[in-house]
Amino acid sequence: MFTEVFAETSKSVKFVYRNKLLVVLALLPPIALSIIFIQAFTFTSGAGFPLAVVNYDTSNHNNWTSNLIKSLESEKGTIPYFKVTITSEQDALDLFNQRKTFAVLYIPSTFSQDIEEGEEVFLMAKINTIHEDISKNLRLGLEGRIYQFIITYQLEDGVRPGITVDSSLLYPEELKRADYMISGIFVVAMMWFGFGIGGFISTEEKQRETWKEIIMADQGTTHVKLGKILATLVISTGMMLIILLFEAVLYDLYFIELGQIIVFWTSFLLMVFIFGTIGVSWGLKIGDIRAVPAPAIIITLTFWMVGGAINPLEFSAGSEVFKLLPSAAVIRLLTTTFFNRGAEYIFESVFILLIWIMIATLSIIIPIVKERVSH
Amino acid sequence: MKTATKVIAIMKKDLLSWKRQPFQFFIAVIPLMIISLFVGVFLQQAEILPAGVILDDNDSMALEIKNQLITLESGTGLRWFQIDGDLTPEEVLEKYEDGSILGYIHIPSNITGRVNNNEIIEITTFIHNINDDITKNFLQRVELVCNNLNRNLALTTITYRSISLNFEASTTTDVSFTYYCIGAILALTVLLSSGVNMATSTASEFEFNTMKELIGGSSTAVIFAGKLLSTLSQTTICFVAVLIVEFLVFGFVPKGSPLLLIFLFGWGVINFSTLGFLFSARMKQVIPSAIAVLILNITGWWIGGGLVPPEVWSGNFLKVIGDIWPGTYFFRSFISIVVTGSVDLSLLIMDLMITGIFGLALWFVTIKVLVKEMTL
Repeated sequence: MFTEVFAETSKSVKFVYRNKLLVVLALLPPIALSIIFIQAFTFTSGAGFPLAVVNYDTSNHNNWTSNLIKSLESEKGTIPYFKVTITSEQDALDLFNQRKTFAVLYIPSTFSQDIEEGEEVFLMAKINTIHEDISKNLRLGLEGRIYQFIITYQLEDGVRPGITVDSSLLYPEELKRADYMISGIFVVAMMWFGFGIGGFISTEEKQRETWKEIIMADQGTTHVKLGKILATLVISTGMMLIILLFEAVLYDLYFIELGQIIVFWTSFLLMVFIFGTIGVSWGLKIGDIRAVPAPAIIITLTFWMVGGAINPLEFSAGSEVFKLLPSAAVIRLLTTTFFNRGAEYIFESVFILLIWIMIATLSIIIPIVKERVSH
Repeated sequence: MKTATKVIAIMKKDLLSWKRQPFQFFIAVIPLMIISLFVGVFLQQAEILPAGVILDDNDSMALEIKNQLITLESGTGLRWFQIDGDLTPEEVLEKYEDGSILGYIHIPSNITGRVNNNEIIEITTFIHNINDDITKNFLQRVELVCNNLNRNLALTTITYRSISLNFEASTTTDVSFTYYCIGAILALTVLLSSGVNMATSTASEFEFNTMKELIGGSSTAVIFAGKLLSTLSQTTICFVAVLIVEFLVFGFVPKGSPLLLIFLFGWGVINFSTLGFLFSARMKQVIPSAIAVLILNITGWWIGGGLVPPEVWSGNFLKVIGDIWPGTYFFRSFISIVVTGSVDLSLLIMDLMITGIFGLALWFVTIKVLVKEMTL
């Protein structure tokens, strides 16, 4: 039996080697997701949210106006930070209409005088509210800059009393959202490799019309299935090494601790086994390579999204259900391993993963038993 | 007259073929439905943060802070915190420890007295900082409450005032993430469906070996006119199907002038459908050419403003790629009109120019490709 299985594995690996386009197809989704999503979410952590300021207060009494502008430009406190452009009203409106800025802040001519005299000062902020993420960042971001102004130039200078906020964080180190998402990218890669590669190499038998010989051979289907799952594991390992290299170069992410290596590669093997089983079964059934990418992408992306890829699962709707998915379990395991977050979910995640392994194993064993009984 | 008859004949043939092969309709529409599902169900961002409040006493200012935290609203009308004001401090701590709440705010005792004593009072937030975005979101909301108090701090003998922000929003209520994305999906429908429909109708000619007869029986202009008319018809059906689903599932109703929307719809089809022709002329098979159009358009959609306006990615290389893809400019104007009901005229003109030049270039290349097929 082992001879037949290894022969099938070797055949499938050679098939991929001869069809290098499959390698490109296999690597494309995780790399594309990595670039698009992580780059997209990186913008929230950095400076540079454009803000046009129209300053009518030329008197700048006691530097209040300068201090306000310093607060707007400051990179203290909560993100986003603003890239301030002081300009005329017409230019500001042009920038706003052409979407080169999403906000225009007007400083009235009596600003510094009113602040000096303890009067309430109203600043008008014209904001583009076409997207709630933008409007949230603008509303709260500008309030954050005003908060910095009040703290720095009114409270800390002893001008007046007030209320401030201090924070105590559960984890000592801040984890960037983009970094958090890297666990999800690895999980996407594992699922995609399993389903996609497993599916691609399995369609070969029907496409080359060798399926009849396989069915007629003693336990032929079993050998083919096991051999292709093993081939999927082998090929996926090579692909994953490329992805790891890519992430190391692009995001400076690499891990050298033995514990991290063990958790990562064990999760990898288990996930590729689960999804490889699904992919191989699908490929053998459908027999057409063109029918593999679409369901593979749909299942992979769905499991990725609902598994806590973008935000932690515990703060998303439906988490009680979605936590049962293998993708959610592995995202939690990898997040704990790499970033020391969510250790309280380790046992639950391992248990869920083992359940899925059992289901995948049974899906292989039951047909083998049936085949043996029928023979 | 003869020309018009030939054009309509080509259009009818393609529509009949489309009707007989519903797969071609599904491949143009299903990806859009799936993206809608992702966006509406899975990607809907949780703006309401579950939190708790612990008061050391029932000081009036402390109660005011607590009330503000509970009632604070975003521009979309949703509460910014989800706080159960009836929880005891022990219950709040328990929920924080088991992860049911993101964080809690601890308000110290005797705030009114201490502030009247010219003290600066610190409210402490305890945050489950699973990532920096969550930390920022939490802190900013509490800072807003501090601002609300500090800008009109009424003490026994004096009221301290500071800066207040008045927001002039470009829309009546802030456009929600889902609403924006649905507008973006409708924009994608125009580009994707027109490209896929053109690809499938042209690739079918190659697969069924009818391209030679088509070229032999009609001029270039007639062929393209016929194909374009059938693509317009098919894309209209796809667009209406997607619109109905968005209305039924999300209650989405497009804003803006219907005439302007129809014009933009036609503009998008005319300038972007030829991508489908180019792919099918190269691949000569229905499914691969349709998939190629799908991948190009969906990727362009992600980068060009599908989830968020690409202008927010300033300084990011994704913005550079988005600037290069002409679809970005189509999305910008179309989404703005569909979601807010208006668009700046100079922006619209610029977007039409860019997409028009792109369309012209594509048509030029497409005609050359067809002429090359004719001479083979």
